Amino acid sequence: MLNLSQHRNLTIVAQWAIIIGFCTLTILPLIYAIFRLTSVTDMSIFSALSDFFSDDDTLRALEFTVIEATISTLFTLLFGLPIAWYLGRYKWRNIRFIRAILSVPFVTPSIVVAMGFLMLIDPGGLLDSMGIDLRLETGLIGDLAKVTGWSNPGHFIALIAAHVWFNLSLVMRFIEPTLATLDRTWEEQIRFLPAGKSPIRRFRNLWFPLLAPAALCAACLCFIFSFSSFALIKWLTPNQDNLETLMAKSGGSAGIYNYRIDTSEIVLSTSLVQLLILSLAIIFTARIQKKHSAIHSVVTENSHKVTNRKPTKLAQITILSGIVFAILPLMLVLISSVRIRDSRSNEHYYSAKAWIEAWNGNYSATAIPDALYNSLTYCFITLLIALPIGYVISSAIARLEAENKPNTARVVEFISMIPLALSAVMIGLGILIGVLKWAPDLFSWVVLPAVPHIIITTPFVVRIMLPAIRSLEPEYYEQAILLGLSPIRAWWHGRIALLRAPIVVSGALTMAFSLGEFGASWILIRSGSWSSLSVLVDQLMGRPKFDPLIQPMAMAAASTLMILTFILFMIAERFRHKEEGSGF
Amino acid sequence: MMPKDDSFLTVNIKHKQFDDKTVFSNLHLSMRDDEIISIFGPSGCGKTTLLRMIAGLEQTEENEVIMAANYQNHVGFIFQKPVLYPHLDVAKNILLGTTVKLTRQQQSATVDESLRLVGLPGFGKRKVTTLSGGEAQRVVLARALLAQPKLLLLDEPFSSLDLDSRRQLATEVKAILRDQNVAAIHVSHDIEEAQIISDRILHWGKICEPSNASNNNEQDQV
Repeated sequence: MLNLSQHRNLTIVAQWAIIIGFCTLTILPLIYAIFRLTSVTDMSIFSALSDFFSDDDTLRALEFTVIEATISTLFTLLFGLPIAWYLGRYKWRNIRFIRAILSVPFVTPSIVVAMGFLMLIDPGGLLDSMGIDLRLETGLIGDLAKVTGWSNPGHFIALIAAHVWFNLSLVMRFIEPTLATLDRTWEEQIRFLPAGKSPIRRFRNLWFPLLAPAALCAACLCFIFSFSSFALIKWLTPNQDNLETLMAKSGGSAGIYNYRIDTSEIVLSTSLVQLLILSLAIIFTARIQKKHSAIHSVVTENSHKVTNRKPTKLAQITILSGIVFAILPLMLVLISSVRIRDSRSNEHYYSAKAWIEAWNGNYSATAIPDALYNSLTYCFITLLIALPIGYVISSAIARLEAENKPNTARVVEFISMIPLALSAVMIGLGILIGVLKWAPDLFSWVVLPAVPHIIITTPFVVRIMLPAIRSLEPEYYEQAILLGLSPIRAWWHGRIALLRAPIVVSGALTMAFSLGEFGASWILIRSGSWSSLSVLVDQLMGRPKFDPLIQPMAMAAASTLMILTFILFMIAERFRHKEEGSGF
Repeated sequence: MMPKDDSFLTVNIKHKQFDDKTVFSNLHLSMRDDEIISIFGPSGCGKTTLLRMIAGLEQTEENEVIMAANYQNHVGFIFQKPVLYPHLDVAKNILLGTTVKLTRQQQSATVDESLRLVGLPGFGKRKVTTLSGGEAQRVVLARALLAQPKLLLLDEPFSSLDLDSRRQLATEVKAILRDQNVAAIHVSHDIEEAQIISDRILHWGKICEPSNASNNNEQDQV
C-alpha cells in the first residue's frame, strides 16, 4: 500500500505528464504544419514574414482584421458599460435570470450568431422593413456607400453589430461583479472627502481606477475574439477577408507539394503573423487581468452586501434594451426555421416543413439526427478528456502556488492559455497540415474531430476550476486522511465533492463550446458523414436558395444547435455561485 | 435653519423604521461645537443609523436634523471598518483629503505631516493592504482631518482592534481632535472607550425610545 508521500509524488509525476501531454497536443501539430509549409514553399519563417508585408491580399486582410476588431471593441465597450453599470449599481429582481440572458450570446455558437444576424438584415426582414437595408445596401445604406465611397458599409455594420452582440457579456461579466460587490462605504467615504465632492471627481478618484483594469481586460478579450472571428466574417462580410478566413480559404490546398504553392505561402505567412499578434494580445491581457484580479479580490473581500437601490427608469430601459438585443437574433433564427417563402407568390407562410425535411436528411448529405449524433459524440469525447486535463492543470497551478513556486505556476498557467493565442482555424489547419498530411490514415479516427475541441475548451476549464481549487481548504483532505480514508476516497471527499459546482459549470460549458465549435470543424470535417451540426448549418446555407426550404432547413439545424447550447448554459448557470458574476 | 440655543447641531427624530420595523423613536440630541460626545448603546440599536442620518447618508424628514450652515459641508465620517482604497498607496489615500491643488513637494510635506500627526511617520509609500487594523484606522483619521472637518462622525472606529490598542488609539484620537479643534460624535458599545474619548456620554436609552428588540439587547449588554 502506498503511503501519503508516495501518493503525493505519484500525483506530481502524473500532473507533469498531463501538462507536457497537453502542451504537445497543442503545439506539436502546429510546429509540424509550419515545417511542412516551409518545406513545401521552400521559404524560411523570416522570408514568409517579409512576404506577408509585401503581398497586397494579406496586407488588405490584416488591415481589415485590425479595423473590424478595433471598432468592434470600441462599440462593445460603448454598449456594454452602461448595461454593466446599471446591473451592478441597482437591485434587480431575478438578477440571475437577467445575467443569464445577457450572457447567452457568449456561449451561442458563432454559426448560429451569423445566421441570426443574416436573418436580421435579410431583405424583407426586420431591419429592412424599418428602411435599413444592410444586406443589399439600398436606400439609406446605399446612399452612405455612394457618398463615402465605402464599399459594402451595410455588411460591415452588420458585422460590428454581431461582434458587439457576441462580446457584450464579456464587458458585463468583468465589470458588473466589481460594481455589485463594492462595499457601499467606499463610495460613501469618498463623498466626505474633497476628492469625491462632485461626480466627476468621484469618477476620477474612485470609479475609473477601480473599473479601468476590468474594462481594459474585457476590451482586450473583445479584440482577440473579434480579431480571430471566423463564422461571422465568412457569412456577414463575404467580400472581405480577415486573417482567419484568408487562411481557411487557402487551407484546403495548402501543404501539398508542387500544387498551389501560393496557398501554402499565404497560410504560412498569415498564420505566423496572426500567432504573433494574438500572442502579444494574450500576454498583455494576462498582465491586465492580474491587476484586475487584485482589485476585484480586494473589493469582494471587503464587500458587505449588494446595493438596495431601486432601478431608475433609465436603468430599466437600458437593461430591457440589452435583453431585447440579446434575444432578438436568436428568436429570428427560430422564427426563420418555420417561415417559408412561397416560390410562386414570394409571400411567406409558416410551416414545420423545413424541420421535417432537415430531420429526415432530404436535400442534404447529412440529416440533423446524424449531425447531432456526431456533434454529441465529439462533445462527450471532449468532455471526458478536456475536463480531467483542465482539473489536473488547475490543481498543478494551485499546488505550485501553495509551494511558493509562483514562476513555475505562471509558466504552467501560460501553457494552459496557449490555445487562446491559436485561433480555431489555426488549430484545425495545424491538425490538417501538420498531422493528416503526414499520416492520412488518421482521417478515419473518430476522436480526430474532437482533438481541436479538446485543445480549445481546456483553457476555459482551467479558468473556471482554478479559482475554486485555489480556495479549497486543505484541511478537508487532511481530515479525511486522518480519519483513515484511502487516498482515493480522501481525494473524492476532500476535493472532488467540494468542487461539484465548478465541475458541473466547466463541464456544461465545455460541451456547449464543443457543440458550437465551427472554425476547426469546418477545416477538418467540412464534407462527408462526419459533419457536426455547426458544419451542417454552413453546408445548408451555402447551397443555392432556389428551393425555398433550404434556408429554413439551415435555420432548423441552427435552432437545434441553439436549443442544445441554451440547455447546457442554463445547467451551468444553475450551478454558478449566486453572487459570482465573472468568469465563464 | 440655525439650531436653537448655543448648540450647532440639533437632532429630533420622531420615528425611524427599516422594513416596517421601528428602530427607535423620539430621539433628541443636541451638541455644542467644542464638544466630543459619545453615544453608548448595544450593537444593533440604531447608533450607526443615527450617524448616517446626521451625515445625510440616510433620508430624514424635514427639520429632523438641523445643523448650522457653516458646518454643513464640513462633516467627516470614519466608518467602523477603515475604508482605504486598495488601488492607491497610503500617501495617495491621504491626499484624497486635500481641499486644494498641491505641488508634488507640497503633497509630500502634507502627507508627512498628516502621518506624523497620527503616529505613522514614513508610512506614505506603504500599500494599504499591508497595514494592521489600527494603522489603517490612523491613516483614515489622518485623511479625514486633512479635509478640515468641523464635525467628525466616528462609527465604532476601534471595534476591530484588540483591547489595549483600542484604549491607546482612543486616547490619541481625543488628543488630536482637541488639538485640531474638531467636534465629534463617537458611537460605541464599549463604555470604557467612550469614557476615554468623550467629554459627555449619552446613553442610548436616555436620548431615545429604543425598539423592544434593542432594549432587550441593551439589558443583556449593560
